[in-house]
Amino acid sequence: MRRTTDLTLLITLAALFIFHSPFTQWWTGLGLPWYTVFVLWLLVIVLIAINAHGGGRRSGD
Amino acid sequence: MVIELWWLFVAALFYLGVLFLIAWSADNGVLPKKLVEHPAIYALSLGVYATSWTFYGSVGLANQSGLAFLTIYLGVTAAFLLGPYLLKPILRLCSEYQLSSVADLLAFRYGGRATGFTVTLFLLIGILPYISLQINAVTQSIQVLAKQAAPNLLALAFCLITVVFAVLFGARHITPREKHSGLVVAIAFESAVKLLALLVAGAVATVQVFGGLDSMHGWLQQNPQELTAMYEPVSTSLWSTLLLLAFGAAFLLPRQYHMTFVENHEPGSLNTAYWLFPLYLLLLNLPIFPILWAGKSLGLQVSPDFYVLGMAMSVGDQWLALLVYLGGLSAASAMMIVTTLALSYMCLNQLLLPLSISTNNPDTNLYQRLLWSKRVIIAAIIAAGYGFYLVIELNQGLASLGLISFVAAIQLLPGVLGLLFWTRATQAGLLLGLLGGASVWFALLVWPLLTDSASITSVQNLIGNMGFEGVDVWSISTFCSLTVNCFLYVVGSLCTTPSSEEQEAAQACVSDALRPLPGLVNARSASEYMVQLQQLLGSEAAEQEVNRALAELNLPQLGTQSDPLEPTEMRLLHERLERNLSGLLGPTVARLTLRGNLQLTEPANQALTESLRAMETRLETSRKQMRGMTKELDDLRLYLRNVLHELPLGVCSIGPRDDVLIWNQAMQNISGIDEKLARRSRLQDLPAPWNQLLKAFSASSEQHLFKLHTELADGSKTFNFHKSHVNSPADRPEHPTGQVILVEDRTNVDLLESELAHSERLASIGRLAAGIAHEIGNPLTGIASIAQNLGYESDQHVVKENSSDILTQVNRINAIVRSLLTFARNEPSLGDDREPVDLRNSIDQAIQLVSLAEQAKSVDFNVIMTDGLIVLANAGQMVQVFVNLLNNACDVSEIGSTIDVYGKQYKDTIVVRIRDYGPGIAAENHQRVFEPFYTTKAVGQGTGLGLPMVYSLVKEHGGKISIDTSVDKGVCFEVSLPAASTLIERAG
Repeated sequence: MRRTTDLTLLITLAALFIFHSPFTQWWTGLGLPWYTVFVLWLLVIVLIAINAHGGGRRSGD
Repeated sequence: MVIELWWLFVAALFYLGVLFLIAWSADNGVLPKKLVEHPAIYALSLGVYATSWTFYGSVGLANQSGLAFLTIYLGVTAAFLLGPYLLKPILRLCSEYQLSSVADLLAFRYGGRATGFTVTLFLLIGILPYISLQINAVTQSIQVLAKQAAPNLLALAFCLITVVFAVLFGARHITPREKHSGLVVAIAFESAVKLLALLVAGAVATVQVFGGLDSMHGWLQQNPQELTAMYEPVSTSLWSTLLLLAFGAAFLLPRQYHMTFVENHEPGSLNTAYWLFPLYLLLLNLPIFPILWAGKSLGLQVSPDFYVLGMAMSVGDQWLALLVYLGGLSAASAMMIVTTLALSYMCLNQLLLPLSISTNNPDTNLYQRLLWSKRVIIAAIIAAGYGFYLVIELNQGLASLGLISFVAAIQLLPGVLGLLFWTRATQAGLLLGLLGGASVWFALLVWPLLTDSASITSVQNLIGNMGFEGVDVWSISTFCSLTVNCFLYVVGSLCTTPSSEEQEAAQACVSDALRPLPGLVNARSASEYMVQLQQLLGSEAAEQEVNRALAELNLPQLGTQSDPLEPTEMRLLHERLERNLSGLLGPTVARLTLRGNLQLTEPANQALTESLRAMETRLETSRKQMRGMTKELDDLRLYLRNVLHELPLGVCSIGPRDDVLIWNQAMQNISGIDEKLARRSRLQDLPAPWNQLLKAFSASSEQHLFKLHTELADGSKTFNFHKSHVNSPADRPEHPTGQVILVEDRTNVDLLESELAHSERLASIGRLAAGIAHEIGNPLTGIASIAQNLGYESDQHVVKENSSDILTQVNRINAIVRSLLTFARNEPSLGDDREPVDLRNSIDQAIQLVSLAEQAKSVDFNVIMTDGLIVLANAGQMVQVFVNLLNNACDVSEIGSTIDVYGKQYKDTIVVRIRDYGPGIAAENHQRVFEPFYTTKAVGQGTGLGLPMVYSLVKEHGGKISIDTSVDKGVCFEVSLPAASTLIERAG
């Protein structure tokens, strides 16, 4: 459970870094392909899935 | 290309018919339960978040705000990412306390009618623009496809069909206890249709309009301003604002709360939803930019909100147009159905019932009344949405209407976050904050929409004039309303003191701990509950609710109970009823109903006892659900409980009212009172003599009571009692303490101690006797010689006579001295002088010796002994034992009477019984006869050392001697000695 908590916080920080920080303005100004944002979003979702299922098994859900 | 109006109407009817069929199949078991309750279906049903605003309006918002439109979904992803901290606790509260809406949740935490009323009214007003948006989207989509203005009648028809669906599949059950499986599956199906429609539209835009991905990228290179416009809004304030609004809307909007928490079958499904729902939103939004660019490249002459329809019409694909139209219809109808359903729960529980429950007629069927009320409310809300649609000037685009509702919903965020993390928050703070935030929201976003002259654009101008250049109206309105809200919420909470009820609810919200009732139930039986509830709920509902609660607690149903329920069971029944009624009537009315009419006693001294019992019972029943630290703590509780239960000392713990809380195994053995019986009783109600014993000791000021002799059914017993006061838990110092009483059975210890004391006394007397005999013996010899000489030397008759008398008395003293010496020499045998001795021979020798005396010659010895009564003993000492016993028997026997001697082996013990038929020994002297110098013979007839010596000899040989109290005439001594065979076996 503790590991799940740690991972949740890590993913939250990573998501904030990607989508709501000065870094967001930097990468959106690079002229990257239009689907870049979806790829990054998918990355966050994959991390959530790994965290949710790992946490679920550990906590007996 | 144009599609006929009637065609669109028939398609809509057909599609809604399919929805009916799916919902009906799920409700009636045609679809397998495994599928209906699958986590993926649950996650898909959350797609109700994507309304016609998403379906049509996303393209428009993307055109207007570029990538910022995605924040509406990224915010939801953030909320689900933080689900373990945010969603899971709310789900727990929702299912534990049957809270069917966000208004119920806040009313449960902050208490009072005002909370629920304010939240419901605010959400009702806040969501109306959103409902009108859905109606507007459907009519506009028809306008695009049919190229003619859709009559308001068509919008009305859409509203009516939605009402029918919502009533049939959303208002079939009274309480959220029964999930609307059909509705959930239908909404999940609608989500799938929306996704399919947009993905197909996106594919058509990419492949058919642009000719492939490469061509689309080529078009973008030719139009670099599109990519710039797409990325530009990231640096604006709108990006942050929309993220925050979507974050709150993910679980605060009534429809999201309803689908996420109320319709959740299995808490574990939320784990899947954490990632599957954001993934669904990602796929749903993937085609938005290709559709936007396709619309631009085609030069469509419709609003960007409807590019998806315009594109389908432009490429001439009628089926695609129909699919998109049905997708939009799905989005609008799903939102309206679930939203009105959620709002109907709120209106019923928070507006209607608190006002009308007291006027309920006991003869009416409450269930039917609630059901029809809910149906009428659903129809009324959709009618109000339709009215709003007719009134407002729809010049703001779809997204604007949706965002107005989002800003309304975010006003609940401080209250909900406080509910989860801040126990100091109060109802006054919440209401102040909510009213402040709502006022700003209304002034900045709703009022301009309702007036003819003003619009949101005018507000934007106003903001600009105030100096907020470059800041959009959504950011300003969100910032202002939330700031006012949070400030008043915090200040209001800090300036007021939370009530005890608020404090308890706050504790229940922030921790997994179960919330005990603050008092005792006054009612004594379940039927008493039913009678009192009848007045408010009506006979049928009252009986059903009480029986349902009894069944859930595995207690006997009404009418089958032979005994009144015990206080713990009544307390559990009260809690269960409050929970169930909360699902039926909302927490406000449930509390008013139960606590108003079925009063609890003051939360004082009784509460602790009953809380502990109720808590323990609930812990026992919910062990399977425990995880992590909770489970470890419960394991520790069980271990400590087992330690207490198996303690070889009687433990009895009592509460402040003398209710028995703990009655362990040793206490059961000592008292013979079963634990279940004891734990249902107070001290004074226990069977005698324990009621008096424990009650008196509990009331006394003594902390210890030693060697209390008590007559019990199985004989006389000796107990030690100890007691100590038990302190209340640290956080509940207001409760008086209970006591723990330890009961120690000392009967066996006492027996051993008295035997040891007896042996010690015998040993002391023996040593004393040896000393006296030695000291007396020498002068006595001198006296005897002198007396003898005196007789020889004198011829006088008197002297001779005196000499003879002196010698007689000296002989008597000699006899006493010899007895003393014999007794004194009975020192413990070391064991090497022992040999197998046949007791029959010992008895025969003893009879021969005894028969030498005059008295014995006139008595008959009746010896009945089995052969082979062999003991391992000192042969001489054995003869001595029987000589003493037979001598005594002869002394008390009359001439011609009989002395019986029986000998027999019982398993590993040989028992010899010597019985005379003399006057016997009084019962109170049975133990004293084994004490030295105690004799019942006349003075000069006995020394009182014979039986003590026998006692010592028998004990030394590992046996025991006692008097058989069952004989009614004479005395029967019973000598038990271990058989030689047993001793040899043990030694071997």
